[in-house]
Amino acid sequence: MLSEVKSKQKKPKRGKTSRVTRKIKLSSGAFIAPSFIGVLLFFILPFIVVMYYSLVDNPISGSFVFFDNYSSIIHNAAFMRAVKNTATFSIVAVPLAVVLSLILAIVLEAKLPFRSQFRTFFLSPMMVPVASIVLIWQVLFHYNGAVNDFLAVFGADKIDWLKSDYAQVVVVILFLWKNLGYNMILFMAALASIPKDILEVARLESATSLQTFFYIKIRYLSSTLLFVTIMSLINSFKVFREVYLLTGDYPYDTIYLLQHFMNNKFKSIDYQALSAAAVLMSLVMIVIIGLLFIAENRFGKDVEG
Amino acid sequence: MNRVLKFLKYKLVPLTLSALLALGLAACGKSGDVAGNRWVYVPEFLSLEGAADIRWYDVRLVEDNLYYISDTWDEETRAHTSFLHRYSLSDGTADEVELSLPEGVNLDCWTIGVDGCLYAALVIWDWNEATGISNNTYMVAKYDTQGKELFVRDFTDILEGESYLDSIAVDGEGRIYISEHSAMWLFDAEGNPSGNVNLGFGMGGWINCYCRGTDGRVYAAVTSYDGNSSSTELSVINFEKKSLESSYTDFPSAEMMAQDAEENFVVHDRTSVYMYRMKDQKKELLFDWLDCDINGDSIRALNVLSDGRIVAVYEDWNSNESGMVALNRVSADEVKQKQKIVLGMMYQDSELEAAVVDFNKSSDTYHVTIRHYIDYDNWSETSVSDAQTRLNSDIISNNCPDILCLSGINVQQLAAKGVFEDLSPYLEKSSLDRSDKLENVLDAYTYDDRLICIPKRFTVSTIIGSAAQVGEKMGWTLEEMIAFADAHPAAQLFDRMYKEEIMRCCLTYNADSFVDWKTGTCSFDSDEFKALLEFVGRFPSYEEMTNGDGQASMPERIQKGEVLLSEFTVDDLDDMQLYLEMFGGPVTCIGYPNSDGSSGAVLAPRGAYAITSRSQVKEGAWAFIESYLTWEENRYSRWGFPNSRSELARMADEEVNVEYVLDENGEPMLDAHGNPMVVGGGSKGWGWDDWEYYYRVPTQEEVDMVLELIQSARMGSDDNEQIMSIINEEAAPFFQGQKSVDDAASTIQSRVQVYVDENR
Repeated sequence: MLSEVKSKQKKPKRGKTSRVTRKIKLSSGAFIAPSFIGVLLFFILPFIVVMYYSLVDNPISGSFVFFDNYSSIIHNAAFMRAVKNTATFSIVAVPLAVVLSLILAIVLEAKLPFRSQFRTFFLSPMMVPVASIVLIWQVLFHYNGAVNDFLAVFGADKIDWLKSDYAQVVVVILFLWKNLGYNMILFMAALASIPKDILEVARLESATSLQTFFYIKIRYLSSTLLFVTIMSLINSFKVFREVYLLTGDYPYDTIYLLQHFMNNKFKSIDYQALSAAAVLMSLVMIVIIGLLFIAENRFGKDVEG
Repeated sequence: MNRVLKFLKYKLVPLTLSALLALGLAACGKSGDVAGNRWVYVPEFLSLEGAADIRWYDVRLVEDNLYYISDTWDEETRAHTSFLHRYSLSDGTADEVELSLPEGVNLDCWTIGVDGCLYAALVIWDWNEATGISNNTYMVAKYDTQGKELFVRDFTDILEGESYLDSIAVDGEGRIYISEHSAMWLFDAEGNPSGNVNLGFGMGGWINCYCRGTDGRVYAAVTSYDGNSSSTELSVINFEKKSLESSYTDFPSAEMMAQDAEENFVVHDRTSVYMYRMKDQKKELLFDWLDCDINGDSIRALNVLSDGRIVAVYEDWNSNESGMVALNRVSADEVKQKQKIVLGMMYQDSELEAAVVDFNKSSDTYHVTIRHYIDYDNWSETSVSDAQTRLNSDIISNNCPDILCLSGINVQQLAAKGVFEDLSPYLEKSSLDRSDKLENVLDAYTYDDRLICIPKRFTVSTIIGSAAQVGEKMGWTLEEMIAFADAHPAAQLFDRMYKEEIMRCCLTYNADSFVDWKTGTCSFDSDEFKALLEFVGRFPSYEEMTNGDGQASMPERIQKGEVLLSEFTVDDLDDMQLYLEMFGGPVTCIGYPNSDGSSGAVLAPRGAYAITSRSQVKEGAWAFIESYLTWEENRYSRWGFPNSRSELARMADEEVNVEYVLDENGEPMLDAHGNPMVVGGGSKGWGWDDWEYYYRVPTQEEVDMVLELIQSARMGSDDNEQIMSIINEEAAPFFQGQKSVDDAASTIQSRVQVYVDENR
């Protein structure tokens, strides 16, 4: 039908087509030029500069050293520790953030009393300024903080939460507390957009809740799952901000993250190490996000378009 | 109609929006002068013919007149007479009037009103040496243009005890404002007290300076401090309401100011002069004093004449030059341009500014300007770190200074990146003799065989104790120091030193003994470090230490055997005798403990400047450094030893081989303290409440001890600062009894290990 409609439309003459096409291309190019220049200036060019810095010995002399900087940081114990900590944190925190927020969204989708109040409760951490978050966490997890006071009631010894092996646990809790609400809202919106008739058909076909969830809902949520996972991964790097404010330039080794390494290298004008680390990190991110896109494409393609 | 709508929707609206966007981008850029012209201020040094005996440090510029006070002493009548002088800058006329001041008074501060009368705060000093209590009398006075007293009123009762009045102002109605730092008292036109102004300083604040405006009101530059940051505002003092009001923000940190005919303020902030526009509350830099070849530190008064010219009084102690200067605004094209050399520094240094002024005057080719990285006008707790960030950005970008002052920066880190030029080739070609420089001082600034700096002067710090107790050998380890303290349980190791200071003493040279930079391993969880933590834990906290004030002085306690050691900063060849007297016998500069027990004397270079490798004017930069190294600073501002063997040898010889003032029998005459008097010499001493000492000519042995100490001194590592910061932070809970020594050591080990791994 569509092809018949298309064939009945008159095709313009060839010369006129080129002129019109060229005109369209020029005018659209002119309109997207400001955005493109902005992306070029603030994203692409800086990345090229970063690549340059990663290939020189230092930003002062600028002597080309090929991949020496990459080799150097891979053999740097602090960098490897930071990579390990960041990877551990992301592997634990991101799936938790996705799964817990999905569970919360499903729970809040049900007709519970005080549903909107709970929703507000989970969203409120997003509105809290960073300085206040740091203050709250210090009050809670300081050596003389509220959590230790609570534990003392049960006779437990004090724990220096942020300067012990428990530090990662605290940071994961901080991350989840801050990001669950946002992810939950995204999932709630996605759940609301699943076609009701398909769910009804499944119910009529005697499908169990679990079957409905895994065979229908998950598929429809695949693109949202991808988006939430990517956003959670990106937000997992941003947790550095709170950690830095809580613990400074050189924290306990279990919460020494990649951004600590890069931040300190920036302060000491070690731009070559910082750039090499940034390039390696971006390569890893490209691979991870590429894999996620492949998974989403495979898993959710039958419900798209 | 459809075609019109389509045109509007698809062409006109998007085009308009794009044009607006492009217009917005076009507005981003540096705004320059409308005429595209650059203005500079050229100094014109004024000759004040007819003006004599000017005390340049105590002059006033009011309207177009220069006022100053001189004193005479009549030996016969034993009378002291003061005169008020007026010199007109417009017609060059001068006159003087005798002031009929009460007997025994001192002019604490004074000013001239719009009526030409002298207004003054007078004080009669009365200090009881026996009781240590002051019974001063404070008065406010007014004298007419003939010097006749109009009133003198005692206001001692309204002050709270001893006061150091530092400023006085008079408004257009003759009402008087007297202040001391952060308090202000008001007096009516007859000198009667009219209350005081509530300055509203919370955590702290002070009045920088006053100025009577063209409207007759008194304006004050007021700095307030909230515990984290400071800011300066211009306020009007409301006499009736006794308060500050109408605050104008973003005001420079003024030392002096004057209002021009357009009601804008010309403000001097020690290094520069700004124009502060009242209408938009914005400050504009007019000129740096250095660009006028004047040391901003030497400015004593500032005003704007009726013809609009800015005039200032200067008194330069370095060059011994003083006088008046008018700053004339001319086009930059009319002034001969020299090659600009930028000297970057974190902290202000008035001695360097004097050297820069002298260099700029003497050089036809180069002109040095100073770029300060710390913003003193808007001080906050992040000012230093912000300044370091700005400096780092400048180093990386094309805005790198040609010369860098090495004080306050991590020299080791920057040297490793090749930021600094190797000065060895310059030194070889110059008239300076490298062999005359002290090798250990040069070694302090040699990295990878590159000499990056030749410090001009240096001081040495060490720990000193009685030779009978610590032995005669210089140097000890940390274990030996702890054992020494344990062997004397009844005495304190140092006088009034709290835990963090003891930690600093212990780790000045020892931080690296717990860090093996070759292998990257740290041993802060070792028994040795735990023993150190427990040792430091014995000492008082800062609060406990200050609560113990009121004890006898350090010398007294040392003499009684209550204190064993003292930190000692040596900056003069005759310094040793003070400690010999204190310890009552031979002393040993045992030094800060270190891993191999060698001399633990710490070298602190001064006047350390390096040329940056990115400089485009390296020859000019070296010309300045060479000039600075041979520049003779004012002997009263000089501090530390010269980096010159020949100079040290000459000083050592002059210290010991002196000419005494002899009596008629050919014997040296003694001064009031029982020391032989030296021809051309003076008296120097140190005093505490219960102990004092007056210096004599040192012996050759004492001078040799200092020279030996200088030879053995070396500089600490820049890495220590970060490690010390981590140690102090993590040791605090242990010192407060909240954590065990194992937990504290474990946390320190973890954090420092991260630091070491990152920086290997």
